[in-house]
Amino acid sequence: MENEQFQEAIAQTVREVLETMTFIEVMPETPYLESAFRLENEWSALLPFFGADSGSLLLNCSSSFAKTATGALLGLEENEVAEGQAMDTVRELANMMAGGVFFRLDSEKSSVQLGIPRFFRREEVADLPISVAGVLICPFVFRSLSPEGEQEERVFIEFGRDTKV
Amino acid sequence: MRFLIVDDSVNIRTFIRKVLNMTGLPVEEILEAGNGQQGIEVLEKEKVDVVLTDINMPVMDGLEMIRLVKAQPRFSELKMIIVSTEGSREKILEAVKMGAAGYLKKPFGPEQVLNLLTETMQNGE
Repeated sequence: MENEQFQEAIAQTVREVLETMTFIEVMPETPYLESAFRLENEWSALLPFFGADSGSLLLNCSSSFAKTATGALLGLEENEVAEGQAMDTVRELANMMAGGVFFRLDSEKSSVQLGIPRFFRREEVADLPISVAGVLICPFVFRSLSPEGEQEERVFIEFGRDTKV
Repeated sequence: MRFLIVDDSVNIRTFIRKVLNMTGLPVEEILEAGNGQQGIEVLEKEKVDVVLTDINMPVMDGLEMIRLVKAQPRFSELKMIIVSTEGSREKILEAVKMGAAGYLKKPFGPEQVLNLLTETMQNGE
């Protein structure tokens, strides 16, 4: 899971999904391994996958990123975006990213089945019914506008493999 | 043309609705459903020309909905198109066997939708 082909599939998929659906341009930074999911931002969507490979994909982003993405997706101004809509966007982006990564790795067979993505806030992480044997953290940086000017923000795509019992 | 969008994501249904209205196709009405079971209930009551459906949904998935609908002769002209994050050749063949007329892999924009719908409607003539 940690090899170069996998990392390249993640980078290409994330850029394609975000640019096509939300017009947000992101740049991949160097991936790294950690022992657990890293929840730098306050919102996440967790999507399990199983089959030839099993584990979970986690999309971690700020609520403001989610609202920006939702506004672009639905053709709304950011202040018109409801929290529920933004949460739905996080789940659906995780869904498209997971599907896209595994499609790039094998476009012939569906060797991996995707589960239903679940949204959660960082403070709810203790309730997550998963444990992983190692997580590949893939940061993506983008520039956002705020009242203070242009800021650099990150979203994280994190792939965790299930622990072996 | 009357469309039915079947997806458990409200945002995706809204996005597809927006995209359909951008294609330039003659859109008469766009109906929505949150899963395959609801999709069948809509089809029982409303005239629909094209269904755009996700696969992975709770209650009833898109492939099962297609299988049940296409088993009924009165829906023989109905075009059912899969719109999904999964796009492997194996999955596409499975969908076609069930009766799907086309397959659109997420993410997509208006051009991909227009091309697929044009091709699908031409194949039916």
